[in-house]
Amino acid sequence: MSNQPISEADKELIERYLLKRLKKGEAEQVATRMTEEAFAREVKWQQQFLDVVKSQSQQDIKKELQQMENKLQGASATESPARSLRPFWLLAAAVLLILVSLWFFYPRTPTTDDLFAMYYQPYPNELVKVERSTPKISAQQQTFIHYQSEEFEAALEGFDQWLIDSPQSDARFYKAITLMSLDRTTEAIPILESIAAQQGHRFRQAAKWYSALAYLQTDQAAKAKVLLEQLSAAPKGSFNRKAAKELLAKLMEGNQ
Amino acid sequence: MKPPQTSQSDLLLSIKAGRPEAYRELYGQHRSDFLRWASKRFDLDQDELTDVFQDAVVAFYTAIVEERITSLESSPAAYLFGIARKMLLKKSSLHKRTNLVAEVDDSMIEQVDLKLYQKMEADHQSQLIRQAIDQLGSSCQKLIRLFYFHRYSTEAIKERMGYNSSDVVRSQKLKCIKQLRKIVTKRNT
Repeated sequence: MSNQPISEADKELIERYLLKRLKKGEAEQVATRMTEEAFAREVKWQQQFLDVVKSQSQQDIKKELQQMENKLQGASATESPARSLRPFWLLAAAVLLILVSLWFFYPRTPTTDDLFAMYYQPYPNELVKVERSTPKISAQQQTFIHYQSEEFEAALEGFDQWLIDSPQSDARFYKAITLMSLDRTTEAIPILESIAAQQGHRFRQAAKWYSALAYLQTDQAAKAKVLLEQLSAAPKGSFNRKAAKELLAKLMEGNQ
Repeated sequence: MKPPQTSQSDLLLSIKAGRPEAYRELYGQHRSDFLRWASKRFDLDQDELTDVFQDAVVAFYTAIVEERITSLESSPAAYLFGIARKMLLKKSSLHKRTNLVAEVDDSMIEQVDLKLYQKMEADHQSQLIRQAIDQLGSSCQKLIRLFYFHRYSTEAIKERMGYNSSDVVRSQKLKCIKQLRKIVTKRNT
């Protein structure tokens, strides 16, 4: 067995092998080279790497779905105040039952709450590099550690403190996202609107996207549509252009 | 009653084309129907059922991106219900077996890996890799997940992350992996 170091080309071959993207004839090449110790070791390393990425990504998806579930449950809890069952309400309940049955058997148009839950996720941290292994963590890093761990109450305190020191910093954008994650969307809207109005702001497009979602959550679909149209008309490659088009299409579908 | 059939549309294509919202849509579109369906058959509360349904969405999505499922023989709902049912049968000792077999076809989901979130802590080396990924910048972490798990093309990543070209995506990916290997080597020594 050879102990030669692995070349970059070998690493790419192994990557294609593990991702099932081998070109013609490469499968035999991989099978032959598996007897080489260094090659087999690299295959093992890359497989471990893929397994870790898979586990982390699956956990991310699970977290997103849990957040979505929390929002859906929160929405249904606020929509059902207790009332006494007078005859009018009994009739209304009967009508509702029929409507629910129809809804069950026919394709359902998502509500604005559903759409919000489908599309909302906190914007990733692009402001501060967070290295948990660093011995001394700055207040800003700590704020983003809370943010990334979805400890939004603690993150909000951090952003508030941060903004006392530098009121116009980009932390405003993350404060708005944090507020949305805490279901304090009405407080987030003015911040997002102000960023969305600033030409050249690095988070301008993202602020428009989150404003649109915020409007959806606060029953201002017309305002959401205006922003989604702007995002959809942005140049190719712009932030969430594709998602904006889809969301807009779903909203229009809901209006028909 | 059979699981509700929803349009298959172009689920596989849209996932391949790079739409992370696909699993959110799967969840949003089929959650209520699943809860109605499952609550009649399994003696579990809503939190337990939603937890299982979330896992089913994760498993189904994973099977698609890993190309264990390459074409849909039935609606996405049928797959999701089948996977969730398998998970529920493991979980619940009070399930009702009647008519379950006729409702979902198990052969469709043979290729779906039901073991989730487990391989990460398998060994020391995997833990080092996990810690090293955590140390990378958020762009690198995102790029790695999009390319290696969601299996997006460099073109789709370019669109998603706003890079100028696919070549930039490729070179950025190489840089991220080099940095990752460096961190792991450093931690190993």
